[in-house]
Amino acid sequence: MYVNDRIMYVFSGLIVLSLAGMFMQSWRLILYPYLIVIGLAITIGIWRAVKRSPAKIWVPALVAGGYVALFATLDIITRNDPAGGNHYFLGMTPSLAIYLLGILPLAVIASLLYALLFDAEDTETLKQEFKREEAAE
Amino acid sequence: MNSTIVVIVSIYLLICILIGIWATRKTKSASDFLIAGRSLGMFVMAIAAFTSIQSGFGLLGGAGQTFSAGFGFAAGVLVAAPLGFALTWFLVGKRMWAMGDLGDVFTLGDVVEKRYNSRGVRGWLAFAITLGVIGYLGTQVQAMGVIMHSIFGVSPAVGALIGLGILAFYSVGGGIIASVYTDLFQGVIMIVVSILIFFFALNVGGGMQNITETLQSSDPLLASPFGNFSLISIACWFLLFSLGAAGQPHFINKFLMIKSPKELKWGAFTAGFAYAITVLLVVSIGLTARSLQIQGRFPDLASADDALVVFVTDFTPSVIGGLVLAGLLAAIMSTGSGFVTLGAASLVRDMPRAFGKEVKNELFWNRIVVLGLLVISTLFSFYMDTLVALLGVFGWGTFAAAVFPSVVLGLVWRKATKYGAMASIILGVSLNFLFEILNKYGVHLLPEGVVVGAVSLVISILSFVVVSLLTQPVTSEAGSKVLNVT
Repeated sequence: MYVNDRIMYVFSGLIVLSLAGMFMQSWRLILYPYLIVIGLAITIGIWRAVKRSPAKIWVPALVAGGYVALFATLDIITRNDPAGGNHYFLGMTPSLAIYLLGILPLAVIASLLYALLFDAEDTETLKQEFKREEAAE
Repeated sequence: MNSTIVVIVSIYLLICILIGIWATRKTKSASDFLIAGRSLGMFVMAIAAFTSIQSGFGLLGGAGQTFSAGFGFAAGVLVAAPLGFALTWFLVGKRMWAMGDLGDVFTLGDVVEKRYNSRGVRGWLAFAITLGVIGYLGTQVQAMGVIMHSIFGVSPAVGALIGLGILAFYSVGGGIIASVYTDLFQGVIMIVVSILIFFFALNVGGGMQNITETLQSSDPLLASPFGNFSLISIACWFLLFSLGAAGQPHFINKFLMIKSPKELKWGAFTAGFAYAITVLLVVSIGLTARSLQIQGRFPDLASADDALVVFVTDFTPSVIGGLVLAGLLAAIMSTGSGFVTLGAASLVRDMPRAFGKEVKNELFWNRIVVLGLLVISTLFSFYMDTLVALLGVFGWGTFAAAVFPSVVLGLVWRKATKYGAMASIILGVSLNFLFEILNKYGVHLLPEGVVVGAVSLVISILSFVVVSLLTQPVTSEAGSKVLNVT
């Protein structure tokens, strides 16, 4: 169940942007392309399911889009004030609340999506593919 | 140290010994010793994966960094790690299990040799893993000495020897079975204690809003998600500790131990959720301790890394404190036991096979090498402190740069070649070592704030892709053209 070459090229292109961000000292250029890489990595993981049902592309789009939305909101509200506002949300500053109540749980939600999309039959296909490859060599 | 804490930690060490005895009886072959005979269920594997990633570094270091400079370290490292579980399960969960089911696949070296049909890739990977293991073990021995010293009052050297004796007892006999079941025991303790400590810490600090206002009164950045850390470092850490998780050999080799693909389903959620809970422990202790310090209610610390130990001993009931310290010791010992088994597999199975040789009676030799590695790492940590420090730089970043492209991308991309894999391993290890050594001696080649491991990981990925594309086998394309023509 190898993925389409184009996905790997897009993956590599985004990684190049992150590398450029490191040398240009731009945290946005490091982070934002990487958030798309997260979506691509999930797409690679569910590649067979996406090929069967292209509508399932919503899963990586949701996770990557969620991260972009949360980090962009954080970016905007902390431009002039690291707290992101004068009020408190569950005792936290708004910016810290976005991190602890948004960005941290999104990782757990991504894991939950893995379970919801899980299809054990894929492993048999993978095994056959690895076997064919081994025999071909 | 309080006698309740001493008793709880002693009981914990005794339970480790009992698990070791049980695991030794269950270990009858190299397959049992290295991959638990492919017998693990979802919960055991997921908790072992979580504890292999959440180490003493994350707990002690995380609380210390949060105490000294705010949430930024947690924002980059600890918040990224649960995402790392999701990405790893998505990217390689099924692929690693399927590889393992091909038979006679006990190590990552076996995986890459099957994938690339190359003993060279196996050899280079084993070399990278062995270097990392020796470095990690040396630092674990030192950390174990420090913790045993603070609990039992013995000298760090004696403390390290006591801890090593127990570690050797269960690792030599029980191999990975002992390692994953002590991980399970430790992981459950960590989860329960993290929840309790979170509420204790908030209570001691006078509630979340009171903690936040106190931090803001001293430095507004302390109540922000970035603290006093560079945003560049946070972005680099976020990339390195989420994507790089899939390159941690002591984590991804656990996919080879699962008994059935169905066991994969809830593993990412279990491991990620468990890790996220322990983030609450680290953050609540770090921020509360700092707020108490601002109010003059927290003792002066010799090192920020002492924040967690001082908080649990001075501000929580002895039973909770004892459980946290037992969990800390367990985090160090479980990391040590996982690594020593990994190192033995590289030396007994992968290195000889890379040169076309096979070791007879692998179980016996694995046990001997585990003992040998523990002795060597102890001698290094006692007598060659500089070497341990140098090898200690082979941390997360080196494993990520050496393992992620060659193993993870190799399993998802058909055009990956053995030359791409070897180039990425060599470059990943070399860049990490070079940048870290130069940093150590005051030569900074990278821009300020950029994390060495993150740069090495992305360069290693790119070298893997470029070299693979440049070394595509011409025969298959020419062959298919010939077939098409004829």
